Amino acid sequence: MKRLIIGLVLCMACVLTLHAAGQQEAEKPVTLELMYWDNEQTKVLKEALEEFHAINPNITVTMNVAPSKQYWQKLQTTTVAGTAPDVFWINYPNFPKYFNSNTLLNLSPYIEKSTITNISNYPASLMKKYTQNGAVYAIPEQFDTIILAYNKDLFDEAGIAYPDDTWTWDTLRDVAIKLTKNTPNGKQYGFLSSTDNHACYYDFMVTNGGFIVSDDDKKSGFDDPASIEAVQYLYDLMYKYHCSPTGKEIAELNHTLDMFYSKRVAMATVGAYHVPTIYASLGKSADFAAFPISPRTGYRRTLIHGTAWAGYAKTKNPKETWKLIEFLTDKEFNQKLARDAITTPSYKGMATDWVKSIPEYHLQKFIDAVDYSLPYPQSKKSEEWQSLERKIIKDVWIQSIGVDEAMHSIADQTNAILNK
Amino acid sequence: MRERCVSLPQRIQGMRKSTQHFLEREGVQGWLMIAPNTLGLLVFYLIPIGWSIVLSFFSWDGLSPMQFAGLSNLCGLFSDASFLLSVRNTLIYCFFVVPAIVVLILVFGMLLTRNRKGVSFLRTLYFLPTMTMPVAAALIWKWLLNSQYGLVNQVLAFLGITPIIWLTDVHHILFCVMLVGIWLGVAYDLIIIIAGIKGIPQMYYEAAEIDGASSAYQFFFITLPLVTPSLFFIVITQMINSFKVFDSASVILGVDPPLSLWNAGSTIVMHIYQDGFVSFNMGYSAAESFFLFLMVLIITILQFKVQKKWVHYA
Repeated sequence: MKRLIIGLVLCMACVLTLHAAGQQEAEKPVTLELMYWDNEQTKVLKEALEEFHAINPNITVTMNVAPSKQYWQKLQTTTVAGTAPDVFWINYPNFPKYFNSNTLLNLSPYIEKSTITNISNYPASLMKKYTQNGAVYAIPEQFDTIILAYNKDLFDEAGIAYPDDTWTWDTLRDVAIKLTKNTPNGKQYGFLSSTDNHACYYDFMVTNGGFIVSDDDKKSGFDDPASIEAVQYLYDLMYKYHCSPTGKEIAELNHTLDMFYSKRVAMATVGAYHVPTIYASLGKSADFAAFPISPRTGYRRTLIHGTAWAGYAKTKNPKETWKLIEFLTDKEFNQKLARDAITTPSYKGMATDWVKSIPEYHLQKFIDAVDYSLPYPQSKKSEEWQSLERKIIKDVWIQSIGVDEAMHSIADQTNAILNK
Repeated sequence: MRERCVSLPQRIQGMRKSTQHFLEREGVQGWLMIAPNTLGLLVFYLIPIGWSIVLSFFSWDGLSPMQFAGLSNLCGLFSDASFLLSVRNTLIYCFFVVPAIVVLILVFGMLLTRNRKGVSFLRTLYFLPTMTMPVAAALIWKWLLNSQYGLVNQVLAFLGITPIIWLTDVHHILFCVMLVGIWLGVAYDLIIIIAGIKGIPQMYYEAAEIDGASSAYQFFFITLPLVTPSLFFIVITQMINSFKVFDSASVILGVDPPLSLWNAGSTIVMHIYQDGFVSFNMGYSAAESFFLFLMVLIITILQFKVQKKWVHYA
């Protein structure tokens, strides 16, 4: 009898400790690392993560915002080291690379069990890009298109009508010349020929019928006559018509758009992600119009690009990682992004919320641009050739090399990298 | 059963004794003493160095499997015009920065070892740049050298000199990089040279004064020869630092500068970073660092050979 009681007590003790251990496991403190590049989102993300922590007290999330130019370097280095962040941004151009190296967490098993996530809430075309062999590896966050932004005050001052859908590159140039003048605060320019590839010369190149890199990722489009003509157009605005600040003037600025923000440039091409800074610096006096039409092709194009949330395949805490992705891709966070005018969420119906977030602006123009947009090019070795491309283009902007020579040099070196 | 019970403590004692003997051996004790440092050196320096040498014979992007490339990485270096330019830039940097630092620390060192009021305060002030991160220092210098708003050009304008485009001109960019290097280098080496000057026994100067030697004479024939051991240390470390210059230089140049500026101002380590962590040609990047290692090794060996000619250990 005595033995039986002791045995029972021991059994109970065992079960209880096991139970306690199980409970502890469920609530053991977990720290997740989150990495993204757009600092505009930091404030909203921070608020959201505080809320997330309140709901899941055992999960602490550390935020890591990497500058966009170093983001992919950082992601690849940490991936190689096996210490990549648990949750991070991925985009369509870089998706294949990280999918092929087994870096991305398969989200499908979690989505199936989730009561919150429903993939039909995201654009099917985007979901298709992030789905491989029937499994989902990333969920879209936002998208951005590039269009023309202008300063209404500077147009009013000169008595010129605002840009509209009929504008071609010729109109842009003529108006830019009219808006260029000397002021007590230095020269005021009509347009900004920027060294930002994504938000400026890439869009001019594709609008003119050129291309960045061929679909099979074997050939650079920089020596295409249409591409060269587009860059020549931007160059002429600086050095022939003198209606854009030159590369020498913008080289020492913190941000290529600084002169637009400080009202010294009347027009610039911008992405949806620039809207918060434009609103903060120019307020109601800014507005947006469609990308100008190329006289050569008679159409307009813009590059569409977007970010998506992905998990790290080798994360120590896949369950918690999913919880965070589920939270960030849920309606509530996306609504926050839209209503605070941070960016255009990909979540169904949220773009309308975003358009309404600043009633003074025609943000609808960004959404309209989706119809004439092309996807941002996908290339395996983009870091390598883009780094080279940016260096050579900046040389063009400071007049160290001619446009023609530079474009051929970029094409030749890119082709060599692509076919190595 | 009983036999075992008796033999167990004995056995433990025996083991204890043999461990004690083992630990008492001189060689073992020595190794144990340096173990913490050696382990750190091994894990953080020697193994990565060995690994990077191995890597230089492979072609690897970090994600896909490694491919043996033989000597093609190392041979490729000599036909890579951009890399050779960075070698040239680094050599020019070293050629100007090291002598500039030596001259400046001798001048400041002499001034700061005088017995005047406030000298110790000034010494702290001169040491301050050492506390600054090179990146922060370079950022501040970037603002000072800004062609439109920078303090340097404002001062030049005040003196009636036309403003100079410092940071975006191929002829000035390397000078800007050197300026930051010198500013940071002087701060640290000054402490070493001050200690060196102060370590010279006073009796030499007293004897010289009795013989009527001028202060210039005293400097060249007493101070200078007797600080050569400190100078030797400074020249060696500064030279190695010059070959390794990276953070300040890459801040001054910025991310993806115009190619002409990059060719005029990039250093070897910037190239290693660019090829390794931007383009992810890990093998090629490792070959570049192997090349740098050989260069530094040869120059340091030469330095040690030549030192007998000019370093005087009193």
